[in-house]
Amino acid sequence: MKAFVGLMKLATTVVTFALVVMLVIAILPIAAGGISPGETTDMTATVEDGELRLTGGLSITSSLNEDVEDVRIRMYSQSESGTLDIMDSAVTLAAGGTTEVPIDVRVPIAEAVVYMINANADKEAPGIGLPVTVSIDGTYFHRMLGFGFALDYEVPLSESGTISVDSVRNAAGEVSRVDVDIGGLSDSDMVSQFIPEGTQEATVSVGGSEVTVSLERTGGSAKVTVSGGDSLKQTLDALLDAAEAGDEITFEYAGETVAMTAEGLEDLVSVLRDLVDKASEAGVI
Amino acid sequence: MGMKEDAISDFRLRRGSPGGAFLSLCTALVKYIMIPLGLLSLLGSLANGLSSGSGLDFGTVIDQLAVYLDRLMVYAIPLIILAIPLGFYPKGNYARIPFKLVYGLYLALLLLMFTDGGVLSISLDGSALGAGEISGVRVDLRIQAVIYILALISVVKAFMAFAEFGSYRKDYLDSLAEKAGDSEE
Repeated sequence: MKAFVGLMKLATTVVTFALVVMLVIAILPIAAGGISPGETTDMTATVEDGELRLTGGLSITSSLNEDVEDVRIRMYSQSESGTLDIMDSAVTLAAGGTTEVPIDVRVPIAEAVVYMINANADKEAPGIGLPVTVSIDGTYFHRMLGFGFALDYEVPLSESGTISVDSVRNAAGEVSRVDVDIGGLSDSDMVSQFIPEGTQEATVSVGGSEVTVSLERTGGSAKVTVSGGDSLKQTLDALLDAAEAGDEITFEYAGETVAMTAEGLEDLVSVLRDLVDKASEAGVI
Repeated sequence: MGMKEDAISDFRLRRGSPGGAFLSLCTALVKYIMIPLGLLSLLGSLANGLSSGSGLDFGTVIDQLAVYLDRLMVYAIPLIILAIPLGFYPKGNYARIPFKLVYGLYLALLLLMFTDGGVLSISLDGSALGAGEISGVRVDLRIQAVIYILALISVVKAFMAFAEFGSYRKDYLDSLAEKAGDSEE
């Protein structure tokens, strides 16, 4: 019996010691910045078929001495309007090296522009940016240890750009149109790549209700107008109700019909609602 | 005239050893106070070295790690108190069982409490990251598997109080009888 107790004590001590050593050895490289996302590389923004297409790459450096499999990498923008997913993929991080993760994402242009407006409408200083979070989650050491890494930064879309939001209201005081003025743009700004010169119009209609987002760019300034019915909020609600009832969703951009899913419509309505709320707080024209 | 061998009489103060209690208290103080304090001091000096020249304020990182060590020290106070009776009563004494049992079970609980269930998080805001576009960084270390194994080991150790009692009871009673014989002489 004494031998059993002695052996049990020895075994628990050895296992505890081994676990603590393993923990220290495994944690130190992570705590010392063993996995670090680098800058995005060669990011370009183009407009294709009513969608904003972002392409580029994200480099992630790992100084761990083993490959880390099934690492989930997410890149998204989060604001009061919700979450705009930019990338969500699983990769294997090579041991002691840099892994390049390609980015190729498409977001409906109307949603992207309204999202950008919402994220910057409250700024007082010049400059337009997109708050972006890169999150890396994975397990290593035979899946016994896990790590999560989130990096928040702002992608500069324009250094000198300014955004102001105004509204037109109906007799009941509800917002019937939102007017957004974007000024101080230069051709080198990233935002100029997805609001090109001229006028573009995106219209979403479901079951007789219709909302139009108009983008008009002239030189260093742009105007975004959101209109739809007598009360924008009611029209947005009607769009969702009609989609839920099974009515067909029609999305047109620059005169061409583009496919839009019910989820896509929900995301668009969410950002538009947020813009209407911001416009409600703004002055009356 | 023999010594009483019931459980209640085992709790009498004259059945324990003040020297053992002192030794056990010192060991607990080293484990739960001195080592964490040493680690805090080591981390503090490392932070000063790392911060100089880099844009990152390692002081904030260390402050957040220090919270876990602070928590460990505070949560370990009951263990330090429990270490006194645990060292005071010798192996084979009934009184050791409840203290060892509670010590082991509380240690398991402490492991889960001070590590937030096995997820260690460090968050840095823009002010700690220096100039740049990065406005925040959050690092989570998920060590649940290891923490749960360590907690399980603590529970096993707690229940080993009964095995220890069974193994050492005869030796303990023999030593009591020997002491009684000496005092009678």
